Amino acid sequence: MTTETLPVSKVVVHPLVLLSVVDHFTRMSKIGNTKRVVGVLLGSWRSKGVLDVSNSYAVPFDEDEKDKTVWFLDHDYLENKYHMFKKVNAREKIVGWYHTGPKLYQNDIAINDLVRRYCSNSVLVIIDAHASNIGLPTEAYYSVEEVHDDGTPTSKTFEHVASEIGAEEAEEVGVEHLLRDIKDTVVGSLGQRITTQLLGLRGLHKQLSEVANYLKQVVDGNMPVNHTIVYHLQDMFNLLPDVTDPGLVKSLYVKTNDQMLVVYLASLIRSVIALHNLINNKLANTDAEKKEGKDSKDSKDKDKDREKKDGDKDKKEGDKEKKEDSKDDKKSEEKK
Amino acid sequence: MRRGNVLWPELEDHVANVDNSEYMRNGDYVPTRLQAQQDAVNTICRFKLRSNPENNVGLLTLANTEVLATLTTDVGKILTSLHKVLPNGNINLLTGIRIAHLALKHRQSKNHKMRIVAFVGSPVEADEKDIVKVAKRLKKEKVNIDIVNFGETDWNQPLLEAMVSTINGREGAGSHLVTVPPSPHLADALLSSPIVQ
Repeated sequence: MTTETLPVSKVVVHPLVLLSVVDHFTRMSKIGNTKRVVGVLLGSWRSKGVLDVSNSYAVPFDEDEKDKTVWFLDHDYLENKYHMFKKVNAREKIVGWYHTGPKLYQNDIAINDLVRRYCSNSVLVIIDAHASNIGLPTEAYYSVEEVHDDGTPTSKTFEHVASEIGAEEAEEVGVEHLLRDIKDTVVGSLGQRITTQLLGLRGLHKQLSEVANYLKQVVDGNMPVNHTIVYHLQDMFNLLPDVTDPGLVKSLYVKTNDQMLVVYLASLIRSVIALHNLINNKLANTDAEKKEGKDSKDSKDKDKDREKKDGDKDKKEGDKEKKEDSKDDKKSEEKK
Repeated sequence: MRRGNVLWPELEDHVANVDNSEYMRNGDYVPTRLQAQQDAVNTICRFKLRSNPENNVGLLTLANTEVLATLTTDVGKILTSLHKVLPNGNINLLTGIRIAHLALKHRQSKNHKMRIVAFVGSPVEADEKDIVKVAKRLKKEKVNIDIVNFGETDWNQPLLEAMVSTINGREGAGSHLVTVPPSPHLADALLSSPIVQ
């Protein structure tokens, strides 16, 4: 299958769409209906090949679980609602449809044909309403006619399109505001970095296990070999470094050891400095205490001196009086 | 249903299932089976909508099982979609009935009763077992079905009879089977049938 250039090369999904879809899904599951929900995507073409999905609305949809060909989508409702939306914002057109998956269903092609009546390049976006932190919750598909190698008539199938989450400035502010209540302010940027690394590794693990599963199925003969996928995988494996090369191993070791050395030194120095600070602190504390003690002693001595002085004064006066008395006595004795 | 002292016809939502298979090109009903069918559907829809203004009618094709019009009170809408019907493919009765049932489930007011009016004009290639299964399901969901058997009457008679009798069950009068032999007046034959009563 040759990869032709699709008219859509990238799909940018706004956070408002994700919120509406998850809200719709939650409301339906509250009623007790845990099947998928379907709706229409509105948006515009930002530049050649980039599709901007800015709004969405849900449509009544029902399907029989056992028989996949039995499904019903109320297209009168779809048309009426689209007319009403056009009155508010004439630039938002129907660009495709969504459902909450999580995977593709057999009757998606038929539903896509119905939506194609309103939009010629209809895009299907599967939005996973179950919160899984790994990877993006959106997957975008575009319907192409696949030519079979054995001459059977062409069948329609879905081709994957790159999707990403983008937002206008106003939407980003709104999202940040919402996140304030849900996400705790991370203690330190290091914790945040580790969390994102962990999530990234989990996502990588998931992708790798999918690749392994695919290869296993091809080997078992369950799936036909798709050469494009195998070429991509071969490129991927060619990019991996050769870990048995002794030069590479040695340089890796040297680099790791250098880094570890620096870390070790740094932690040693940190602990020594901390100890120093502790000791300095202790010394300062004891000095302060001593000074306080001396001050209080000084003030006590000063008070004692003052008391002594007063006492001496009184004594002197007392002596004087005694002297006069004795003088008087002497005088009286002489007179006698 | 009595409102005051007047007996009003039931509040009902109908989905008309029209057969648009290749067999409809046949001219044994004048001018073609498809045209005769369209007149008949027209008559029935007008009658139902006139008998109670709150009734809703929808339209669905049986050959390429597509909903042409969802439940609405507007006759004009039904007529425009009806005129766009072209013969295409083979009839798929059971899928069509199931889709009609889904469309009825999404009606505006749950007070309205559910009814399917199916026009079958080509041989139905289904097992009696499957037919009875679908019929039992409809009976459980309290959906009545009126079948107009025309065109390939002999082939379809036993199957359609089985369906109607299963849905009717023991009490039996909600669903009807009307067999119309080739004649120029399909719509008139229906007017005198229990469907428009």
